[in-house]
Amino acid sequence: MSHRPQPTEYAPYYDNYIRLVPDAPIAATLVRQFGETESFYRRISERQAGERYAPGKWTIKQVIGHMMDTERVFAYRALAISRRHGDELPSFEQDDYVAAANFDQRSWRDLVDEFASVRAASVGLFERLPDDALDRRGIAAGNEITVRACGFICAGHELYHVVSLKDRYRLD
Amino acid sequence: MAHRPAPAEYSKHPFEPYVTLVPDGPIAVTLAAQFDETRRVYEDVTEARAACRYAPEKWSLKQVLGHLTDVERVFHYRALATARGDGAKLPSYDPPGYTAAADFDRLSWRDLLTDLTVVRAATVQLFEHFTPDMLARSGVVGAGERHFTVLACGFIVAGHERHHLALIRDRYLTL
Repeated sequence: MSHRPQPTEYAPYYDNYIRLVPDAPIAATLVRQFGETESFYRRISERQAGERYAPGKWTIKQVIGHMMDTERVFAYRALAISRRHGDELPSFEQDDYVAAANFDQRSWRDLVDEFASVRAASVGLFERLPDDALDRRGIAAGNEITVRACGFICAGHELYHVVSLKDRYRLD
Repeated sequence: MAHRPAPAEYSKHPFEPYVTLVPDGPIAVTLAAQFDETRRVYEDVTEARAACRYAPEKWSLKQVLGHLTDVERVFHYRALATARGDGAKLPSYDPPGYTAAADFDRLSWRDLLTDLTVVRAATVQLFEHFTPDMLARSGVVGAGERHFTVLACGFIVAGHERHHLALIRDRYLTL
């Protein structure tokens, strides 16, 4: 049986992230993946972390801050939908969030430490859901989404940005 | 820097009883220190005791602990969204509905305590990095049923935890 969400479980746009995630239980994927990405983040220096790959683009610190904001939002969506919350959940304006935050004023090491805590909290949620909760559906940002898709988006969104960091910021 | 929210920073009902339980001080420090105390009490609870209800229609201890973690996740999101300027129309939270849908009784007490521990660590780090400007931003639930500042969110989480710790000591650990 596949662990992956079906295309009917999320808006087509999210396929950019979900297709990057392997077919496996999502809590285990979130743990295993961070084991790999954390060592990549820890190899980035404080000086590199303040750089942008082009003028007007986010710094690496802002990218990781954005990854944390996104994970917190999707973990919340997963929580609310898994608890059969009926309200439509609000959209998430990623550029506004980064502009309102202060990621560039923080140390890189501190940001990576925080991301580790955010990930542990996401794993805690997905590990403890009731059996049928991954299938539960809600509305977020105007689109139907399942709890399972929220988990895959957490993982896939991180992978998407790690690939982009390696490529555009010439990190390895 | 303001170390506690003014009464105008949160809806009197239902939040005032929680906020008043929290001592003055930087909220990230309070959230970390207070949880050390809470955890010591909860670590002594046995699995058999954790399955108990003090009255038939009341939650079990496990459900109370799961509820604390849900509340923390909800206010963690509310604080984040509000601090980022996105607090104008936050979704509501339904404690009985969430607790019923979560089925916490199938989990062990130890496991539920681990979950609250990791969520608290993320909450402490979130609040550590809010600036005074961010702490002062206001969020509103639904069409205005409830409101709070980011700072008040932190005090609500801490006060709600203290409220339940006192109830648990009085009603469950004396059974």
